[in-house]
Formats: sequence, C-alpha cells, structure tokens
Amino acid sequence: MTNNKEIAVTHGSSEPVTRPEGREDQYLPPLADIYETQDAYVIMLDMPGAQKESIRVRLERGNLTVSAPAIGRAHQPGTVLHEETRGTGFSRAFSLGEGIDLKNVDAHFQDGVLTIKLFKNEELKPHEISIR
Amino acid sequence: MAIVRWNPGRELVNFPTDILGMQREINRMFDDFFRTDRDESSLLARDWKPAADIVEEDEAYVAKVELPGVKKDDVKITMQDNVLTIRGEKKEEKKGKEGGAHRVERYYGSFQRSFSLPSSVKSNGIEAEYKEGILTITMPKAEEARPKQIEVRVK
Repeated sequence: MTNNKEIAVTHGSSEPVTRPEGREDQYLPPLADIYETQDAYVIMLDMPGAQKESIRVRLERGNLTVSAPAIGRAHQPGTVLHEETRGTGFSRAFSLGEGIDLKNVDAHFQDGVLTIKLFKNEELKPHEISIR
Repeated sequence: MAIVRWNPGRELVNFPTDILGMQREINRMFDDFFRTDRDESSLLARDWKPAADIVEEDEAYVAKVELPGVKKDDVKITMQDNVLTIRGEKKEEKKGKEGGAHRVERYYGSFQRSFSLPSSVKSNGIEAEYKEGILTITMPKAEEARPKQIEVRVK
C-alpha cells in the first residue's frame, strides 16, 4: 500500500510553520526491531541523520542505552516550508536479561540503522539433552 | 517451593525489554497514534509515510526524507509539473532471523510521497544524495522564481 496523497507546499511567507514545542532539545526513542538468532539477540534501531562518531552505546548494570543527536537532519539556512521530523536526536534504553555475554557486544551503523548484536552466554544457546 | 500460577501477560515482556516496560509501551502507542510518518487513514495497515522536511533557500528548494535502511538503488525520484515524487521500497532481510522476532516497530515495504512545490525548478539541475539514512534532494529554482533585486531610479 502506498500513499498517493500529495502535499502542496506553500511559500513560507503565506503560512508560518509552527515548530513543535521544545524541538530544540528533544531526544525521541528510535523505532526498534529485536530478533533472535541461534547465538545472539539483535537490536536494529532507525536513527536517520545520526553520525557514527556521535552515537553512544552504553552498557551499565544490565541496561543498554543508545543515544545520538540527529545532526544530518539539521536544516541549512532558509525558510522551513514543511516539517514532519520530530526531535533533535535519539535516545532509548533496554534492560538486558540474564544470559547475555556483556563482554561480547557488537555494534555497527549503516544507512541510518544502528545494529547491536548481543551474544548469548553458553547456557542460553540451544543444546541437545541426551535421554538416559 | 511454591507453585506460581502461569501468567500469560508476562510473556509479552520479551527478553531485551524496554526499561520502563509497559508504561513505555502505552506511551509509544499514543506516540504512534500521533506520529506524522503514518497515514492517518489506516492505523492498522501501518502504511509507511517517511517523514520529510522541505526548506526554501534563495536559490533552491531542499527536501530531506528519512529513509533509514533503504538502499539507494531502491529509491526513485521524479519531478513533473512542479510535483516532486519519491517512491521506493525497503525489503525485509529474512535470513538470520530464525529465532523469531521479539519486536517489530520499523517499517518495511513500499512508500510514496509527493510534494507540489510553490514555484518551478530547473529540471536539469536537480541533485539527490543519500547519507546516513537521509535522502537530500536539492532542486534549484528556475530563473523567474528567484528573488530579484530591481533598482528603481528616482526622477
């Protein structure tokens, strides 16, 4: 299903654009997918406009926090005619359960998507149980 | 050891969970309801309407569209009668997900956005760049649409 609705953008002078309240320092939670593989949990976060260098991924007391300003989203000087993006950055936290190898976490950023791979401990990996 | 009654609701909280759990989930539902990147007419179908900003500069219009995870070859941009149309698709990677999904919030599938611009643009000067999940389209204004400074001589 695609959206065919057309938006007419008018000149800035005729219709002032109201900025969302507190946009200047609003960090909103990025959309996330979480899925499981044989040996890991994988979290994918949509963070368009973030820069790899400014993304912070922290592991502390069983919590995983991710934050970054959306630098690439910033406007060049000019008149804003139409604005749909919200917030100036991203921030979200996840609490991790037992069984994750905290020393073995991998993160990479590509095309505005941050992928975090949390590897499972040995005891969480699927294994066969032999029948006596 | 006491026997604990099985609570199916507990299953909703998946392994890596949001720190604020249920409360966050409810907030998110409200948030999602008011999101701009969703087509209001079909909340259930989850139509993907990527968020876009448009800025007018002296010499050009600049559109920025959020397309995280989209490959640049899967995006098509057209301009006709001052209407900018961006369409494309994000394919879901199935491999490596055999353990199942715990949470799916990101958008997949096809999208299309159209914007009619307030004045004409130079059809041969449109440029587009895809970086960090943001598609930036620069559309230089046609000569007649640029601000002109006219000197008026006073007699």
